Amino acid sequence: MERKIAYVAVVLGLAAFSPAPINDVHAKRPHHPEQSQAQLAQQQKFNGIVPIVGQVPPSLDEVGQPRSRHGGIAISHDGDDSMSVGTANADKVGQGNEAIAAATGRVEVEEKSGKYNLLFGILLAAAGFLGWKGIQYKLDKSLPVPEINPKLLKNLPQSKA
Amino acid sequence: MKRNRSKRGSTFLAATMLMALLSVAGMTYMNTASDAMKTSKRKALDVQMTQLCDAGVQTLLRTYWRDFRDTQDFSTMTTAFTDASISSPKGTMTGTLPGVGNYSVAVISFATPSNDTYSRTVTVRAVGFIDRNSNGTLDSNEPAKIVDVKVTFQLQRSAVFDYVYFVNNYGWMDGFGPTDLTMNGDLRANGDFSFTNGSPTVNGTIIATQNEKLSTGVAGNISGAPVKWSNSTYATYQAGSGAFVSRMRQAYDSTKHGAKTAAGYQSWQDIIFESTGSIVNNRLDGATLSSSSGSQGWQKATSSTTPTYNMIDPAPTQEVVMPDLGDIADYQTASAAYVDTKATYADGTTNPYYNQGAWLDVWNTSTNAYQRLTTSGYVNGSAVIVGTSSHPIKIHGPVTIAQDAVIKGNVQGQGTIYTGRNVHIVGSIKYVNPPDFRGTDPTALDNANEKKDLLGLAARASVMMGNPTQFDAYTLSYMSPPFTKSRLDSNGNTIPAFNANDTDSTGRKKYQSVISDSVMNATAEGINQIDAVMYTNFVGGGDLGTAGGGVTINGTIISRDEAMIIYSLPMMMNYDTRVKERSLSQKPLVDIKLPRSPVLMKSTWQDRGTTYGT
Repeated sequence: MERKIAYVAVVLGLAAFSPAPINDVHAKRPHHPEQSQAQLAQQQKFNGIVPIVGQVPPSLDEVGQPRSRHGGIAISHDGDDSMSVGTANADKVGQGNEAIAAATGRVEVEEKSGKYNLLFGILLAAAGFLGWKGIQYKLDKSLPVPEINPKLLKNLPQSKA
Repeated sequence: MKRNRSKRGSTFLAATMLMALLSVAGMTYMNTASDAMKTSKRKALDVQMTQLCDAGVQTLLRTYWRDFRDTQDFSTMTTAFTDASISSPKGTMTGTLPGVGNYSVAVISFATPSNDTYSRTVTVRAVGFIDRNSNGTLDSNEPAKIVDVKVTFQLQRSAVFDYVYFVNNYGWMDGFGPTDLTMNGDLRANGDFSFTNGSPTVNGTIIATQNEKLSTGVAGNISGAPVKWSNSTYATYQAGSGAFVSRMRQAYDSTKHGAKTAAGYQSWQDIIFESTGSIVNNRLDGATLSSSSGSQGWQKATSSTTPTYNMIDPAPTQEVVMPDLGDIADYQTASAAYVDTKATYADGTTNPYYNQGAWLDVWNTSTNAYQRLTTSGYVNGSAVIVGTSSHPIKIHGPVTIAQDAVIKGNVQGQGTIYTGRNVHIVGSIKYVNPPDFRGTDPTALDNANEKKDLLGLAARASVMMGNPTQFDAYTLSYMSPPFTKSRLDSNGNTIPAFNANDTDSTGRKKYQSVISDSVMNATAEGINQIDAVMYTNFVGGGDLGTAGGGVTINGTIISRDEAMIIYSLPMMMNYDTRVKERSLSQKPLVDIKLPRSPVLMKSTWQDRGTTYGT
């Protein structure tokens, strides 16, 4: 029994420490030197097109099998983001479009309303300004001009040039 | 005592005025407080609705991005989004963020930019709203926000061609000593990278990436450190008389390439070897070991030396998405549409192929003349193409072959062969006019190498090297489970491991050619040299070096699974820097229309307005 275990251990040990190859040096096969240009020229008789064998799938998936094109994508929102194919969310699609249309419409209306409010405010400010200027003009016209006493003018200090 | 009436009146007036002032002050304060509360509430709503919009945009983009990344074509988007407008949104999606609100998102514009068939611009409109009555729709009294996001889905030049060796799986080199294998270029794996049972020489960067899509999920680590030459050792070797020294990129030499801080260095930075890793011009420079733990420089001069490391950048590496050649019709269309638009080369000389389409010519021994195999850049079948130094294979532009290409010999011209099935390399492939990357003037080097031969081989199935009729169980074991591994796609579905022994739609096994075994046996020979940029969606592998004397690949090998069995040493790989995208020009020196990778670019985020309901 112990001998068997020892054999197994030796075999496993050798296996563990032997090279495990990828890009491996595998030199057991006999080498055949590269062909000469003359040999290559002879093989140019094979140059040409060979007709299609079997079929050529237009599209391959990640496995290399023909891929069937799917018609659309929808998404479910029950806690994950798994995709479902087709129109599984058709009811939601309609609601989504309604929400987009409603929000777009409302924002447009409010934007227009905001523009009108701004215009009204500007007009009001302009009217107020003109009114104030009008009152100022009226007051200037209606109030008497104060009389100036010439004696007071004489008593004012003269500036020296 | 007598009350003074006038005094009593003035007190009353003062009290009234005080009350009035207090009332005005109180009302002003209440109004201000009310406004502040209103503003605060609206700000909170705005933040919530912005998040809802963002969630909607991300959901829609992620969904279509995944499809685009997997299929690498625009057909799903075209079907879903064509004729999208504000009044007729397409591809609508809805969702809820529990406790926050709802979103609706759709595409309102879908267009192909002029003269760019590889891009689609998409404008997404997202509405985030607070669904107060939980009826799933936007009611008139509910607040909503609109955001438009413009993005571009694009098939752009793939970064996989920046590497001499790229594998969309585990990368590993096993059993090679420093003189057995020399890699002059950067290596990358979308998985772990390991060097075991020996230390090959890698004069370049090695990148491993975390990848949960591989069957066991990998952390993105590099185990073992290969030997790496110093700049002076590399330069000494390149100055010698060794084989293919002209195909090696240069080693950094400050007297030749200038100080790294000088402006002129950027002209060299992308195309030379620098043994010491560092950060230059805000990006990694020189050879590094880059993994999910960051990028570090390393020094290891001999196999017995204990490597030393220095951390340069703690940022983890990211997966690089491989191009997908799944839809051969796209490449057939591209071949038919190709026109060489380069009237003159960079040195001012006339391009003799200007305005020509894509074509593939071979020597016909019956007519003693060249024969054009392509019609509008396409071969409706398979092709056997053998070249000699006096009558090489001639190629121009991207050509597409419906099934297999069986190729060997001398090649002249610049172009890529796309195949609907396998590329079988049945002997050495050698350029008639190879590039030479030695020199002191980057402009002169580029001008000379721009005109030299360059071949791309892109297989929708596999690139098989050697005679497949001679593949034994040993070779096939590296193209089959359990050596090849399954993986997960973007949706978590398992993609079975590649199995070379499976039969495909032609009735042939995946490693075999549709060309008859007799022709394969008559043409196949040992491979010592491959001058080509090789790309495959599946396995790149087979028997190399069976002619003795070792193997040299001057170009790249990019594959999902790699299984090259080397029958003689030494092996050397030299990266062809002409296909690397230069950081200054954002394009490679020579564009041979190699496969493209999908990217998603977000360009604008526009707040279109908020409504708080009635």
